[in-house]
Amino acid sequence: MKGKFHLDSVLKAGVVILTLLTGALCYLNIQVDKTLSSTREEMVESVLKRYEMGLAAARGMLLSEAGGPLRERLEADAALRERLRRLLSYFTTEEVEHLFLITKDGKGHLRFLLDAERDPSQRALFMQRFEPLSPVWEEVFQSAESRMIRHTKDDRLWVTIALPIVENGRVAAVLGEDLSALIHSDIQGRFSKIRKIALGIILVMAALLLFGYFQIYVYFRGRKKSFIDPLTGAYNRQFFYEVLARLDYTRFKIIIFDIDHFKKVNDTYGHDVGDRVLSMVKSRVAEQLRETDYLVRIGGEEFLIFLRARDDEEVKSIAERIRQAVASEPFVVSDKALTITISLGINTDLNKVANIDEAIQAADEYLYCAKRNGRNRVCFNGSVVSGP
Amino acid sequence: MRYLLLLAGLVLSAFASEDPDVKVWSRIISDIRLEEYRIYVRDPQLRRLVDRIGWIRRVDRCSEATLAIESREYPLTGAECASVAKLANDYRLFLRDKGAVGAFFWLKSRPTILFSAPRLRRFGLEVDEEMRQYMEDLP
Repeated sequence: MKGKFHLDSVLKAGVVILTLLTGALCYLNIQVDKTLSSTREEMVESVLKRYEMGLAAARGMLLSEAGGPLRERLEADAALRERLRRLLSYFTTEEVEHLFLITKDGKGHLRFLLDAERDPSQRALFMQRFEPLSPVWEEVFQSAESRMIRHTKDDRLWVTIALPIVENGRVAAVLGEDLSALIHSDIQGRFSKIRKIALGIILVMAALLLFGYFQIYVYFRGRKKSFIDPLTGAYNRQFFYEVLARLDYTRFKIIIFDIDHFKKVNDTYGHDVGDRVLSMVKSRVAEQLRETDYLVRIGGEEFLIFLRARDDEEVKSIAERIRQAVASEPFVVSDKALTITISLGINTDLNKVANIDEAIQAADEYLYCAKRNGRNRVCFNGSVVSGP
Repeated sequence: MRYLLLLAGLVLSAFASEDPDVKVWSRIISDIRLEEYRIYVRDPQLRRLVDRIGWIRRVDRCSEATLAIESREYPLTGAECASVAKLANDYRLFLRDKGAVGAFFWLKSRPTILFSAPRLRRFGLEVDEEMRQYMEDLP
């Protein structure tokens, strides 16, 4: 199991790392989104603040140029109206759709005092009715505090800033500025570009991660194949040296076995039958083993079992069970019933050997003990412990 | 084919109902109390708009109309329309033409409706309660 664990753990570690990276990528994406969103909001606030300050400057200009009560002066002096309108128009830019000054008449209707519009045909006339749908203007007259209106259903307007002009403790007029939707789309466009770049980077990283997943998959699929004997499905010699030999083998017991008179099977019935016998023997033996044991084909008809057992008796019992499983029933291959037996050698004392090869060599000697004593036997510590 | 035409009609009427100008004009006209709604329009653009108001009957001669709609480009200043109450789509035209009882236009990207109380009286017309907030004392 340790070998399997070794393999699986590398695979798992790879998958865990990639999963963590994927999670980190998702987190990064969310954070980028949040940061961009908050930065955009901050930028919007700062842009609005700038326009509000500009509007406050326009208010200061109007109050100082009027040289008295603004509304009364404007109502009385047409020349002043024209002069202030012109001055007010200097505060307009491409981003300012409309800039105007309104007041409230005796009936509570809002009316234009000034309109900074440069095109005369589009300019509101003095005391022309202003009919906004938003109640915010009324609120500005009531509260004497500036307000902002965000236009959500208008393609041309983004935000309207309404700034009160207070004279003698009451709101005499309100300066209104309609900001173009172009400002907002410009900000959105800039952030959309940054977002696209960030998304592109994230997508590239995601593609690299996918590639990583794919590489791990391909690597382990290939590696697993390279450890399996294609004829029998047992582990092969490469697995033995690359995985089992690197483990702490002293905690294992070894059973080594080979098929008795296998050369005769090959010579008599051909290699195809021989191959089938090998495969069937492997299957019968594997049925007697646990998930935690390893069955390795180390030679032509020679197999090695790495297993964990409580004591020697348990290993002997397993070895005998394997021997009986093979010998108990004939192998039917191409309508031929073949009696097949195996000889087994056990080495349980792996602490005394210098390396795995010595351990195998010792087990091999016990295997020849079984052969010498008539085959179809289990030999342990130089003596036959079970047989027919 | 009939179904196709019906479908096209439905789609067109759906679009028509979404146009705010059509909605507002329809509302303004319906809020002027008239026995019959026979509308005369010379401005081709306004004519198309009026044609999208299903319940209105458009006439080709101003003398047959109970209400006329004029625009800055197509003012109805001739003798034929002298006795017909008019609606204007421009504020300056509304000020200038004493026969204009009301106006609807866009000002500062905001829809603006206005009625002249003295002119409505002169034509013996009344408007619904809801429209009274847009009344001006324009002679």
